[in-house]
Amino acid sequence: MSKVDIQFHLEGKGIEEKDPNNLFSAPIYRPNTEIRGNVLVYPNEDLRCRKVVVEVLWHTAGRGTRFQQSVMEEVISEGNLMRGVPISADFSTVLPHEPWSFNGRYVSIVWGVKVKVDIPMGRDVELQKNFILAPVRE
Amino acid sequence: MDNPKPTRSTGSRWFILFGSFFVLIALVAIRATADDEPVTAVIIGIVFGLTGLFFAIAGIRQWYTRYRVGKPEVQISKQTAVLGDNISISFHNTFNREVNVETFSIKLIFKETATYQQGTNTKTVHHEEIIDEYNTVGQRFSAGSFLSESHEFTLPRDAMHSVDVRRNQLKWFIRFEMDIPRMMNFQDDYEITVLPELTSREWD
Repeated sequence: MSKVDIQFHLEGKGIEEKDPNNLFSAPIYRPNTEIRGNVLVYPNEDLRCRKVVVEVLWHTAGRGTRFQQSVMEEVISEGNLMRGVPISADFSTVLPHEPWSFNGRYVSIVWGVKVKVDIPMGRDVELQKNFILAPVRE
Repeated sequence: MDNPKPTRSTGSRWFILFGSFFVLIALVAIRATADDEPVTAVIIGIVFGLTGLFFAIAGIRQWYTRYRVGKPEVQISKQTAVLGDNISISFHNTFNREVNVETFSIKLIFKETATYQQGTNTKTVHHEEIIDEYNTVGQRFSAGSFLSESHEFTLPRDAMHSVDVRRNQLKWFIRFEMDIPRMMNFQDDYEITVLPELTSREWD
């Protein structure tokens, strides 16, 4: 059992899941639309913790050194976590116009919502749920 | 119509300079060590000398191709475009010397470039995708003869825009290429900045 269970729920005005080009079955958001969601962090044990952060970000993936940029960062909890006491938080932000999601041979652009449980002197617990940022093409 | 300068051309100057520098290092090192350590001198001579010669010869061959072909005049309708845009291109060249061009092509290229660290080395990899291509049948051009070609490309609406961040690039290019037997090929690339926007559809 992991130290912490993390669950996401994404919604928002821009969300569209029935795009025929969506091969990854990830939710699709349109540029300049709002992404909203809820995060549930459920500690399975008492944990020393600095903070719990929710981030909406994009990063490069593939062969190149990773480049990352955050468009929203919100601390949803500060201090230690207690076993069985969940932390739930809503978040929202307006997504930027670019860069659009892309899957290339050496360079990919990946968008996601990340929750990070910052553990001092230990390995942080992280979970990222990816989504697609793309315009309507037709 | 813009009259741009090539982003990357088969420029010979750096190859010749780089090659000459290596050859010079080889000569100096051989001279300094030849009396005391002849084996070292031979190794340095082979490694640096051959590397230098390789680059210098490549540079000279490139220079020779450009000398014979001449300096083309290129016009590109848009150097900043959006997806779905049409880009008109024209290429005019007067040949300095006789050149046998096997094929002349204009290509619309989408290029991925990724740079990464491997140990102490920094490595860069490229992947090019030819999105569209226009080819003409080759012909023998005599000195003073004229090659003039025009074409129009459309940036696909379902493609990706340009991205340039640290160590990761997605770029668009127009490439002019001449396949010349027994000589280095002629190649000039012109970058097109593709913005993250789409042209409005005609019926919108």
